[in-house]
Amino acid sequence: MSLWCDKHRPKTLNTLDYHKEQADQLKKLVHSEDFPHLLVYGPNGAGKKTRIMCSLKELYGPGVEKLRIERQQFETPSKKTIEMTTLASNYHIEINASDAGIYDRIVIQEMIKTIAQTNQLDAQTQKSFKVIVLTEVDKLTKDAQHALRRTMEKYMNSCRLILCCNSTSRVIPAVRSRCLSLRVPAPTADQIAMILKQTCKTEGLNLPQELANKIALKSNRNLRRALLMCETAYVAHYPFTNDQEISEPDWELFLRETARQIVQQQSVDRIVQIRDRLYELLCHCIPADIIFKGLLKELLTICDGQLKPQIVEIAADMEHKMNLGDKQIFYLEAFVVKFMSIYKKHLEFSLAGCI
Amino acid sequence: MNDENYDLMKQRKAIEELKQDDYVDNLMEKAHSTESELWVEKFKPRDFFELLSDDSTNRLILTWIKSWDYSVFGKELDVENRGVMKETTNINSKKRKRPMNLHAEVEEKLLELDEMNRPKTKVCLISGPPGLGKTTLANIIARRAGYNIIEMNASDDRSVDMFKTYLESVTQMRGSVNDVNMKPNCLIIDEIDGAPQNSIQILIDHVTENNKTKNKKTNHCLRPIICICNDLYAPSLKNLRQIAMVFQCQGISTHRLAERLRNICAITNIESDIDAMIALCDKTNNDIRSSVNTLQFLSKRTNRITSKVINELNIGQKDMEKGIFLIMAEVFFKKYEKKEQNHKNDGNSRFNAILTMSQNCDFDRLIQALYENFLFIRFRDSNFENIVKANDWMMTCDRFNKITRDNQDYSLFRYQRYIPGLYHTLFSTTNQQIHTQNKRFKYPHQQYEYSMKLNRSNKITNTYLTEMSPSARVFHNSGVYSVIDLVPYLCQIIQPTMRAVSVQLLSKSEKERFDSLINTMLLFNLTYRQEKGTDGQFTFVLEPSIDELIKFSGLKQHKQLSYIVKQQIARELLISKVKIADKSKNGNHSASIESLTNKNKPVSNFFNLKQKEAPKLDKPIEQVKVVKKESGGGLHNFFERTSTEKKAKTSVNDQKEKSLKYNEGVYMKYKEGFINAVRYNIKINQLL
Amino acid sequence: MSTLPWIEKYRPKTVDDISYQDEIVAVLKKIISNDTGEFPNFLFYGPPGTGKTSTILAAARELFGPELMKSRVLELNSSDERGINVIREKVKTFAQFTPSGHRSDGKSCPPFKIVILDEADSMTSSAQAALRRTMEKESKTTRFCLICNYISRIIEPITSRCSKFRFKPLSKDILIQRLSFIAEKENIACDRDTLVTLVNCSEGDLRKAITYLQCASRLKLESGCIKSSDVLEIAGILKDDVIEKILDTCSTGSFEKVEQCVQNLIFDGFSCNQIVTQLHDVLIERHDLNDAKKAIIFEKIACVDNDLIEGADEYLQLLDLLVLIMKQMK
Repeated sequence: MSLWCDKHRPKTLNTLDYHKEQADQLKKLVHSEDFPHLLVYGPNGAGKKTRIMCSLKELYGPGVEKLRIERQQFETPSKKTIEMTTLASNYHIEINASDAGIYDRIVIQEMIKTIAQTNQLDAQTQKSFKVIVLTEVDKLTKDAQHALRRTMEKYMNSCRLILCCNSTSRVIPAVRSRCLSLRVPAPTADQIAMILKQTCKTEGLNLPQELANKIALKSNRNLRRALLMCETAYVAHYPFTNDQEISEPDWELFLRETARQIVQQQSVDRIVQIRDRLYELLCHCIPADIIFKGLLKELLTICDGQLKPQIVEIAADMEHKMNLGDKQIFYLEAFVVKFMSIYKKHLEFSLAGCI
Repeated sequence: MNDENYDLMKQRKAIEELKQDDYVDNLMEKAHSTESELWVEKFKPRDFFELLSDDSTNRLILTWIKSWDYSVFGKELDVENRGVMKETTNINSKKRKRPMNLHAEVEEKLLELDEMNRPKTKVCLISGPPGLGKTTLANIIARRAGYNIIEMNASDDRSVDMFKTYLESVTQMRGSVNDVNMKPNCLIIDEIDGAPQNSIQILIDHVTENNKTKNKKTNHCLRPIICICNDLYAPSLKNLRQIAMVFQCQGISTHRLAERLRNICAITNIESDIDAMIALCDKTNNDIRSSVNTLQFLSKRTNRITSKVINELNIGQKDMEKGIFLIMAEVFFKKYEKKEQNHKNDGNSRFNAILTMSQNCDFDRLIQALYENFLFIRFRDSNFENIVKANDWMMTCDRFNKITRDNQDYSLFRYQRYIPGLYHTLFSTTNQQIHTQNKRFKYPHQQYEYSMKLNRSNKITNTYLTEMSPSARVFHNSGVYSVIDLVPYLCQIIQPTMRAVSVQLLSKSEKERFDSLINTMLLFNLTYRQEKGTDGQFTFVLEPSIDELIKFSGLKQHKQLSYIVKQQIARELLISKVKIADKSKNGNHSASIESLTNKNKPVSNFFNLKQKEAPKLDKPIEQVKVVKKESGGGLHNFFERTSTEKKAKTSVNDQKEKSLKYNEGVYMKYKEGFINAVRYNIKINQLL
Repeated sequence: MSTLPWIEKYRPKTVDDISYQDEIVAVLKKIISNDTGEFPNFLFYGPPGTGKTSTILAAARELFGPELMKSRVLELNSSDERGINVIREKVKTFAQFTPSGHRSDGKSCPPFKIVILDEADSMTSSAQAALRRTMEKESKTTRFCLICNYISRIIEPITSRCSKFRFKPLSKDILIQRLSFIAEKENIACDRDTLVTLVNCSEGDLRKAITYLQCASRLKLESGCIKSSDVLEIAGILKDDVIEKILDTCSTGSFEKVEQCVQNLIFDGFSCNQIVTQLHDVLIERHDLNDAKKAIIFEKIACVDNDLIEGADEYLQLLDLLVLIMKQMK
């Protein structure tokens, strides 16, 4: 009915394909008397959301899958109204924490308190608590996280929180200590290849092992991306061939070309061109830290081994400074120029050495 | 002779010298009036001839106002005067390329009347640097032409409603009953470049009579409106400029101003000479208000004003607004240093000069302009070390700015002013070539363009996220990761290779693929919308246009589906949506899809439904059990909170339901190639 | 019937129960027994999980008795609005009612109310400034108790109006004692090793230790005994051999291997702060690095830690650090 990555997503804890011991633990947790607050963290595309939905299904049954979108409005102290979109079923509600922008503290205080304070009507047949799923918790401001921690303690009776984020370093320790942390590591390339083969089998297609391995490697241990790549390959050309071209996202190709241009020529004119390309990447909503990492990866593959530590240091430094500043283009361009400067010096030096 | 007599004699003598000036006559009485009045007010010109601004401009404005005479006063236009005015072409009025300001054409335009005998341009816009006398000018001219002046300036509430009421009351009615003179009103809107854009739009609508009310009679603009502004090129005035008669007042001639100042000195018993007054005019940049104020201030200190006193003044110095381009030229280009040591040209003094210059202009704009232009200068820099240094500074100042903004603490603010000086030391060169396309400095647009594009991309992403169906949204809720991971592949998945034939001709496997494609698009609420391109051709555009998010310059385009295929898909999508809406109405599976976007097409088109049931759609839709908010009857709503609902959605649904009047059991068959013709069998005989 | 978290269940109810903070307990006991109401404004500060909130709540309970607690105690913490407006309105109104000097069960109680401001270091300095005058004016009827982690975040005028008490981090023995008491009560089997690991993981924070214990017990319901490895997994701490592997990779001197290692760490989802802290602990002990090299490495660790807190990207910072270690190890 939809994309393969959604169609073949496991719906129950039993049907999860990897990290099975963790699935067992989750199952036990769900059936135990008290279900704690959860903090699920791990890299992108590892399966955090899938596991959360499976646990919810285990808790409440198939009713959780009947979802609807609701919009709620809040008024801030400065009389501005913000509208939040939430995804809800009868048993749980999901909020994307970063949607609220700078007003996230208000959203947390009002919304969660309101939900937490209403009790279930029909206490016998259902569980006595509701679940609130908060995604992208690491984008919350510190104020909002402080507001969260107290709410978690006070309203333990009527609601449980499941927090979902990429890394726990941006989550304050107070919140972390009130939750049970669940680490979901990324699947290995072998596991991904296996899942790809299974998916194709269910679809009635034949996927050669070599192609599966190729896709698994290219997907960078991101299962969602692997499945999307596979489906795109199918749409482009079926039956599968071993040397079929696997498409990459356009922005990655663009970034790679940019890196190649940086290394190819180091001149003021080139800087002007690179600046335009960086602007283009930025205004296609690609986040600047991903641009940094991508550029660094490409540049490291092309340049000489001696320069690598220095370049890594510069990249880390600039990226850190970028988080403290406003105009991202300054930092990106500064990194490029610094690289060019070092590279050029190195080239001249090695050339001089040769002569 | 005691001092008093001496002073009086001197005064009389001075006055006699200047008796030709009418101005002085008029003000003799006022010379001894209250001490505490501001001289700017005291010595304000009361009549047309006392104005210091450019004569020709004054007359032009007067002509414009007088052209209203016919419609307001019923007076005949003075034909002779027209000729007179034509002769007074003044060389002073050398304006720029805009033909409207050349005299002959202006005259013509001024005297053009429309069907109601009002001048074609009903609004005039007077612009010029501050302290020129524009407000005074407008007041005098309007009064001279016989109007009652109603003034509205930046101190008044110029919100949309107030503005509207004001406008209507002033220009549509005669003078108020209380007004003894029963003069018609003339509205003077001062400092209009600070008014909110919406209010200005109201003015424009009113003047061009672009309003949609039925009662045409009461909406005509019957009175002249004079607008005054400082910055002619403010963005909010863009539309106004096009429909108004623009008068650009240039500065006042120094000599005239100096004369006037000397007259004032004479009247107020201050000793001065013409040189001092000229120095004062220079210092205040020929700003009348500023120089008179300075004069008043000085008079409290001393009775003798000489050039020396003026030069030592610290006050009265206006912001020297030098254009950004001038400053950039100073920063980037070193003048060729002559052998004789010209002290003003060594490194330190140049640095300081640049720092002072850059203080008084639009600083942020300047920094941006420097950043965008420095790469086009051919400076000497091996291994980019200078650029690295410059970038370091830019980054540091950017961080300082952020800290300043976040903490409201301005102690770090002072460091960014060194940037122009820094750029000068690093990048200045004697080679005055600029390597942009048109060989001139670029105005800093890049940042603005970038933020516009980013806004657009964000809007597309938001639309895409909000319109997704819930079952897809659960797993793809993040905007960022959608753009990075999902969108590139999604765009390719929904563009499979398909034969460009009609749907019924597809083979079974192809049909399956087609259906799954339709399902996917339904889930993500994507559709194709027909749009007319710039060349007049129709194309189908993806909506929401997420394919724009993956378009990068220089990359080869993905192959697109053909027009026919897109059309097929669009139609299938609409059919599916209608089917689903119908199912929810009949309560079969209590299923409906959120936003049945039914843009502008009339509903009757959809009655050409296909006969087949499309059973394959049933199964998937079961799983997409989305409950409409209104049918909350059967389900408990435990959360018990109020949520605002989009009323538009329900109204669209209602509309659909009203029009979906067909009952089951009645089918309509769509015949392909159907034409509105009746077929007969004809023999050739009948034609011959 | 939902179960309370153990931190609430085993929170000390009387001042006597509070372990280890002798001075403050002594002072409070004196105040409670002595009825003339010499109750100063308190400022409790110290590392988290040492019993600050418990202490003041227990003291209030003993002073007022459970019935009067609700009306006499106002608790404001960081999940409530604590802007200047709230301070002005809420606290003032609360402070203005005069309390009586008698309890319902006949015993006398001090005639004042208590306002507890928990997590006071997240209050803005302007809110704190608004507070100080209120503290003075209402001192007849209201006493304040501020609780915070870092006393430097409370403005000077407030700290001068309060009696400051520093809560020490709890010693290992006390922690082990308390934990075994709870484990017994909840019928959980765990050996001494596990308790020691628990205590090491929690860094002197009793709340953390109890929470970890509870989480571990939930995960291991039927299988009985809790092992050290479970505790480590819950706390997100990497196993020692993982750290060793990282350092071995650094000593090979191959940039590609280091890069791959960092990539794998990120994919495994470990928190970068945690990795850096553990690297630091292990590197101090290593003998193959001389002091000069260690100094350079630790300076870099400090910078990386700071950058991570300010929001830098984990991959870049970790790569930077490991590359430096690699260079030093050559």
